[in-house]
Amino acid sequence: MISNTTTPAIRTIGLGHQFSSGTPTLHEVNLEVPHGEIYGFLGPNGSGKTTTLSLLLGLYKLQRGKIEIFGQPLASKRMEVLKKLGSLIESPSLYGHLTARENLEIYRAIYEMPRERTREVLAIAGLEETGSKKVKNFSLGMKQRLAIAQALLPRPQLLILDEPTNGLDPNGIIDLRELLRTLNQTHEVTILISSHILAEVEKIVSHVGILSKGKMVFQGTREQLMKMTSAKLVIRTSNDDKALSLLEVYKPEKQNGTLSVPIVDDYRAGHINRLLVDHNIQVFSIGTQETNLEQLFIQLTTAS
Amino acid sequence: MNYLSTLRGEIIKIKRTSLLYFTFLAAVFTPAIMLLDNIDGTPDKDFGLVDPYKAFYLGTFPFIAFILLPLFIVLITTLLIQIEYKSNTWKQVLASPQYLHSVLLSKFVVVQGLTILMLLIFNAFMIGVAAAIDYNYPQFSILNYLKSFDRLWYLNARTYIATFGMSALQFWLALRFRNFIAPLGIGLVCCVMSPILLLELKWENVMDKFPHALSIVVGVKQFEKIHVWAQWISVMYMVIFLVLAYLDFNRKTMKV
Repeated sequence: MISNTTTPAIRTIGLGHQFSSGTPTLHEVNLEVPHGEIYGFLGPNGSGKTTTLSLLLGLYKLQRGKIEIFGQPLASKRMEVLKKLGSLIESPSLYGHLTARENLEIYRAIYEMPRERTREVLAIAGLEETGSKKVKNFSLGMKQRLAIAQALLPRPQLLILDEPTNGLDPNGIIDLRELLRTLNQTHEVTILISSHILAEVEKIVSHVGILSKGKMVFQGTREQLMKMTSAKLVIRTSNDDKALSLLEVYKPEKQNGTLSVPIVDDYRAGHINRLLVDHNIQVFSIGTQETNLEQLFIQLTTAS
Repeated sequence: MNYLSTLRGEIIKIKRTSLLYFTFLAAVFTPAIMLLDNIDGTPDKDFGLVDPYKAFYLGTFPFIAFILLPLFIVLITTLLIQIEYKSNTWKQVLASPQYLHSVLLSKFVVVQGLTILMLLIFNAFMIGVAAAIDYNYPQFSILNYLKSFDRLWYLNARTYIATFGMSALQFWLALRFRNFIAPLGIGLVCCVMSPILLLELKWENVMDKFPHALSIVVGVKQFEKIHVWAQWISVMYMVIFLVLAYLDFNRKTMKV
């Protein structure tokens, strides 16, 4: 989906945070979530995703850097900003002794929403039939759906969802993906969705940010990330420096005693092999190495 | 609008909790004892000797003001704040467009609402008990205690105002400790110690240094000269403890 405005929905500049233990949790995080897009915020457990999202919601005091949401500084316009967004942070925050409707009613007036909105979001979450059943008797999946309904209550322009698929069964995950896609495409809701599992979000996101040990190790479009996954031809030779200059046109890289070049087809592999042999360079081994998204994610998050 | 919306949300949160049951039980406990005590054929020996207000109402009220009301406030304040801790909902509350001072003030107003409700129900049941005694023993004209409505009203009002300080202190403690045992334990000890220190040990320093003792001070005739002063002290404590509660919670919010 193409952004309808140039102002990013979320922009952080040099965001840093550390807890009282003294260990920095975030270092210079420059997050940029384009308006109208679905942004997958990925990283292994403990990478700082929830801390970042908590900072975006003003739940933690800003220690270093700046946060802008819809171009407005969060520090001075927090109330205005919060009215435009819905959020789900970590586990569902619900009152177990109340019904689904009552849980939503608590926030409906705060967001100045009409009475019908409660019914609408219950229907969106598929919970309109729960009646007087108390939330403590809901399954984890139902609680997660109610938490998402709660996040949708203010008709948000921006949704911040922290691991929203936790507790959902495969069908629930598919339903959630469809819901997020519809919200994004039909209602132009910008969505920031965090996960530690790339496969869960890669199907719906247009942009990706990968956080590892508090640092952004990748940020860009999904296509840019996909390009990094292309297969490579890995070559071991008797003279790497000479081979590098010979293969310059293929933009080779030298790493750990091997050369690698992006592979297009088998003919390129044959051509490269012949070229090296013709120039008296011995080819000890030549072969392709596939890197899928999952491997790339692991590489990016362990390399840092 | 924002404050009223927050207050509305806080009222919804106490639906189906034990808070309303405790309010009702605390209110009917004393009238029920009074009823059982006086309907079994042996009415209180003081009835008929002094005016009905003193014999019926003033003889009972100290139990409310000295023990039951402070214990009730300790319990409901702790339980009310525990709703957020138990449900793990503080993050969602603080991520919604509400000011922290509105949220905290709304919760405190709910505590005050329940306290007033408890006193109203208590008084309503006392009228019922008086009517029942009056029906059985019309010679005592117990129901005439209502003719001293101005004294009754003033006693209730000053007792209620005298609980502001302890109510705010308990509110702060309940916010400060995630575990409900600590505020409940501290509150119970203070409630038990206050009458002992003030009335048994005659330790008058307790009067202005112990918020839990103020509801006793305003209920005892020997301290009549400082009844008004004690109410002002209570209001002052309330302001101090509410500000402390706000500052402390605002500081520690980020760890919730």
